[in-house]
Amino acid sequence: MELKITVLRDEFIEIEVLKEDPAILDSLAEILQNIEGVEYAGYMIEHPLTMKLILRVKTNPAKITAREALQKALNELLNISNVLLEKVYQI
Amino acid sequence: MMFPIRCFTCGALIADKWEEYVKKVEMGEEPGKVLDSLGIKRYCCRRMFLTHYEYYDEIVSFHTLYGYKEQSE
Amino acid sequence: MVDLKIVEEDEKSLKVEIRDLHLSIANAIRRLAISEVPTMAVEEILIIENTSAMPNEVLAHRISLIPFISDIDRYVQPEECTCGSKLGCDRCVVRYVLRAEAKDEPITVYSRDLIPEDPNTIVKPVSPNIPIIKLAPKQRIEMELYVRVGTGKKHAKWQASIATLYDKDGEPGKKILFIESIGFLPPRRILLEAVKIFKKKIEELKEKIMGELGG
Repeated sequence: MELKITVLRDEFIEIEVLKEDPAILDSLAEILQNIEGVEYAGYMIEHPLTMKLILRVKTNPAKITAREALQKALNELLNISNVLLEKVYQI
Repeated sequence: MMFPIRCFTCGALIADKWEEYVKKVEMGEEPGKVLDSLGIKRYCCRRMFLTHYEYYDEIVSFHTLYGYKEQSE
Repeated sequence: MVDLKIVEEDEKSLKVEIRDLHLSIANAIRRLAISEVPTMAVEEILIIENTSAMPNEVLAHRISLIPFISDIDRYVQPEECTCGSKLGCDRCVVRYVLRAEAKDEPITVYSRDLIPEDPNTIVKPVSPNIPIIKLAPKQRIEMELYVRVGTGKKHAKWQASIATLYDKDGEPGKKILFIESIGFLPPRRILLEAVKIFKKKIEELKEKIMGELGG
């Protein structure tokens, strides 16, 4: 995975991700969308041959900054994957 | 050509069941029922069997009759 | 939180009922089970002799599609291996030899005719009954095969499983993840590996984003 933050403002973050499965960013976007104060979270595949992915997060800065939302979402996603791994070991 | 090793669509291994399929069909069983008994469920894999013609057998029988001659130096 | 339950299982396939998990995460697991779980297949073939009616590249392609029972605890992908050798070492390659000759009758060469260099290896073709090639009298093949670890992302021959995700009939909120192994690994192992890879990817993503954001 190669990653670069192209836009970084209080209310908006844009991240370029290379060499990664889009389903990973899809998971992150879905978690972000469920966070209070996030106005938009989504990703796009710039071109299917280059597989460059662009993740964009827009928030209402009065409620939460984009940076905080991203951190919160990543922590939540990591928690879920830890729980998931435990459950898979149990079954 | 010879029967494909994997299903073109889903990638499941199918070649190991081909000879059993041919044997049973030649004995007069219904192809669809043979595929059921072999556990080939998806229609992508089933069409691989139903539509295959073993063209390579003709090449082999050609080579058996007119094929390889020892080349002299 | 997340709840997993096995509803159906046999030696080839697995149906897991999933509750209280985001659809996108379940879908990510499904995708990883197809394309990122490491498995083993023939990656390189050294053709010493081929007088059959089948061209080298077609024969090589057929052989490469044979699934091998994969020992992914012992073997690693060649690019992750420390040996740095193009030929590979005992941690990244399993060697096989295929030799066959038809005498007076046409013969069929099967996957059981592949001879491993190390007779004790557990890495062997999933089924002994895969027809590889038919030989007419006097035709001969001789080749050396290099079995390596790879993922379905690199080439479809390494695709670990056939996986689908769908809603359970008449029970809203419940999803079924169906995993059918091609034979490389048991279905439970594929599910476990897919979830492990998912966790590893999330950790990497978090680390990289936090690093870029500076704290």
